[in-house]
Amino acid sequence: MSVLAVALGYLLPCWVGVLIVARLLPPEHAPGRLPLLAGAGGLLGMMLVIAVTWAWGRAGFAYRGLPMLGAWSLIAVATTPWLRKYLQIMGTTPVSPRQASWHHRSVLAIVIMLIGVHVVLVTLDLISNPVFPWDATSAWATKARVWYALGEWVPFVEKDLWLADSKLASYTDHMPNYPIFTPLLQLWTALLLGSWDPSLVNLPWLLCFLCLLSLFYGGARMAGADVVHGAVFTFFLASLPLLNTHVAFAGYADLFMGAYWLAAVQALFWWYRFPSRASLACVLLFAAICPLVKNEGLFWAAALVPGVLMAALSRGRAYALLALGAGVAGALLWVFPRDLEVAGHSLSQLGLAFRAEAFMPILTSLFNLSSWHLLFSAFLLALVLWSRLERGNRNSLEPLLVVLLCAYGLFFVLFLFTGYAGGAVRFTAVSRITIALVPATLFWTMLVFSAWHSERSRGD
Amino acid sequence: MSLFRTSCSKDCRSWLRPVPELSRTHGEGRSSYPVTGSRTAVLVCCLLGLLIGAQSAHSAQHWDSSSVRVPVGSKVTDQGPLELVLDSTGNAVIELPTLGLHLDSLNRFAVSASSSADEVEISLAWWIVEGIELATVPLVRSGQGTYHAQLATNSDWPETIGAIALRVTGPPTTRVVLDDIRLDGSFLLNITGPFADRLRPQPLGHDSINVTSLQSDSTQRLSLIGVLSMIFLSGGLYMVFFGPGRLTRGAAPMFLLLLIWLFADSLWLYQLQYRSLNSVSLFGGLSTRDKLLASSDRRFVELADAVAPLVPDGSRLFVATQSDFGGMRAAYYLYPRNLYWKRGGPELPPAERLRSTDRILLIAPSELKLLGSGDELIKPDGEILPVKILWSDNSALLVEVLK
Repeated sequence: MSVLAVALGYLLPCWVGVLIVARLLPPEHAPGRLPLLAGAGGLLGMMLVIAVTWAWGRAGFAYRGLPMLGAWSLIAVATTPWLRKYLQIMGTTPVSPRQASWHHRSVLAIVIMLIGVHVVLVTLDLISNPVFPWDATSAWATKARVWYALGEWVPFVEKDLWLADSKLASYTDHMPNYPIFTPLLQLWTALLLGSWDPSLVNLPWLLCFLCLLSLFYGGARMAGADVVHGAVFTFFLASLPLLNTHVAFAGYADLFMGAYWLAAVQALFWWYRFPSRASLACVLLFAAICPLVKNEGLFWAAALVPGVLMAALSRGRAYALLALGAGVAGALLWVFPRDLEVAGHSLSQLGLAFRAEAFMPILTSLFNLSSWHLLFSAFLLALVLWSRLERGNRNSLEPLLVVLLCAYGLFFVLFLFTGYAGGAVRFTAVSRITIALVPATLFWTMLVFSAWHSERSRGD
Repeated sequence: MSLFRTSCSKDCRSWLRPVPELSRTHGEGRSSYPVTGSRTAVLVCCLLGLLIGAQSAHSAQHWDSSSVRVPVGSKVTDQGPLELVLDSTGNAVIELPTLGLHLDSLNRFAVSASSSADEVEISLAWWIVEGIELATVPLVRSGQGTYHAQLATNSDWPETIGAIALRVTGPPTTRVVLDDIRLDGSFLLNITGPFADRLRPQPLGHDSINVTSLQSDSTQRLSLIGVLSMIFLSGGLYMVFFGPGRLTRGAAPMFLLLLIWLFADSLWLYQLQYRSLNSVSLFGGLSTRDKLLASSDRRFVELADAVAPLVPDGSRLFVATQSDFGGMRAAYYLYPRNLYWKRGGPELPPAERLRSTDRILLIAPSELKLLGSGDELIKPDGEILPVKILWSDNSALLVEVLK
């Protein structure tokens, strides 16, 4: 297998992903549709890779690159005529940068160049460094290494089950109950490469990063942001230090978590603006993928529910229902079985109690360390700007704000009220978990800045 | 009420709110714009907040006679300002305790001496371990009886400080009074310190995946990002609430953010290019195996190469060690052997769950010990396992369980 195989092995699934998203995503004629389709389609394509690779192994077929690539060719050929009619990229009306003024063109040139520099530098790191981060070698890549070496799918089970397995038909590692999303991507890449290359198996992280940037820019443009706002905020996303590190130093699933949650949040935004079954299906699709990437993805997916309520009901009813839901959730905590695991955790493991010592480290992580540049300060300013927007704009951005606030509420509960507080105090987990929320936070910030700009420049 | 006067050329976009009829001035002109005192006051308050925030984020350490030791020369009193007498060779050494200090945020040293110290020279020395001098910096006389040293630019400061000391030299038996001995981070250095920190190349490490902090002790003071955030928020809020119309009509908040972001990102890019080029120089062009051998995991790669052939198909392998990192890496490179490794221990499951064909790889440090002639393994709980040694090196041992 070769570079060509790797290219085909990801282009074909991503093509199918683009076709599916094109079917689901309104409206057909809007600027930014092409990068948005590329980004969301690419992410969906990677999910399809996971699904097919998992099903292939579970069906008892041996893992071999060429037959699986053949299967992908068939899938792409079969789905293209069926879905092509929805791919109305040609109908888009991209705004040429030439229409912008000279200083806007200068800004565009600078930020595009800087995006390129960041992408090149993280790519150099990614293709050079062997798998290195802690959990990558204890919980994620372990599974891929085994499946690739054995050429077949074997289950990873808890240690007690493994010790009791007299036939040695199962394996175990540090986190056998972690989702197998990134291991299957690494497996697929190794199959396409024809060998276990400890650096190149991480190529999906680069693809995810590119899809994320494309999705972000496309989403910004489709939401009405001009080229400059779209490009500048895409540069902000591309330059976030911890996000860069998670590509350069690939192996964790947090980058994927952030990308898929952004896709779900954007889909919610489209559903709110252009209600249809197809766009609701898009929300549900990307929300359903979240728990498959990381266990806590279930909670991020749950944070979308308030946004759905805001979009489906009147404002008063939605808030009433949210308050009721919060009360019910609080009450459920009292009666919920202490040992029942949800998303990999049980109440007894979480050790619920308030941990004040984690509060300042959380704020330090968001505002004072270098992980996010000035993102959270910009978010604070965006909150002020949002409060001063015209009612129409303010209301249209409210559902996403509620979703973000709910997600950050869960985030603060996690680090202030559970045993995970240690991950904040020692700075081992708090910034990483934030990655899930960062792209969507920046997206909402961009929407507010853009709306502010368009309101203030109206009539100029 | 005050007046600002400005010249406006073609396409001028004023930073001050213009009077309405001038708001779209494009031609040459000269205009006067009123600025209310309240706006200036808000801006001053914002910047004052920034200054106070930055100032409060730094600390200072003072020493006096009661808190220092004088191993060379002599101390006159044990209270108040330090009075000392140089020895017969004209030397005195004053050891300054540093226990509990965050020396990386303290980078300006200053001494105030009485006029009797005019003939003496004072230098600051620090040690990497007791007795071994790492660096010495002469204090510069900056006024009548005052000496100081800026340490921020010294690459050795504050690397692994064990102790710091003042060395005073002058005519023998001279009496010197040091009114104040102070180590602090000046406001300016406190602001510029983080910049200097960020320009120090820092390779990717195990913490890099968890957090990006390009400073040695960023939690102890206001970081560069903290300072930039305050500037951005002050400027942004000012523009939102009081800003001139033309400016806020445009994309001013975004451009202000972009400007500050570019500054922060330039420092990050510097680190990123260093790390990328460092990775390429370490691993570029190497084969898969050579790449692993060139990495910091070399020991575990070689260990796996030696051990894996001794674990036949159908056998289980238990990786036993107290080192989380060692166990994790060894296990990773030993896959696809069917293995057990438990982070945080216990290193092995109960003996009754082990089988006769199982292999145990012990990696130092481990609580498991070999007994006698090496045919028994004792666990911390006293359980004894009969074993046979299959392989060993300086820090690892592979045994087969015999039951």
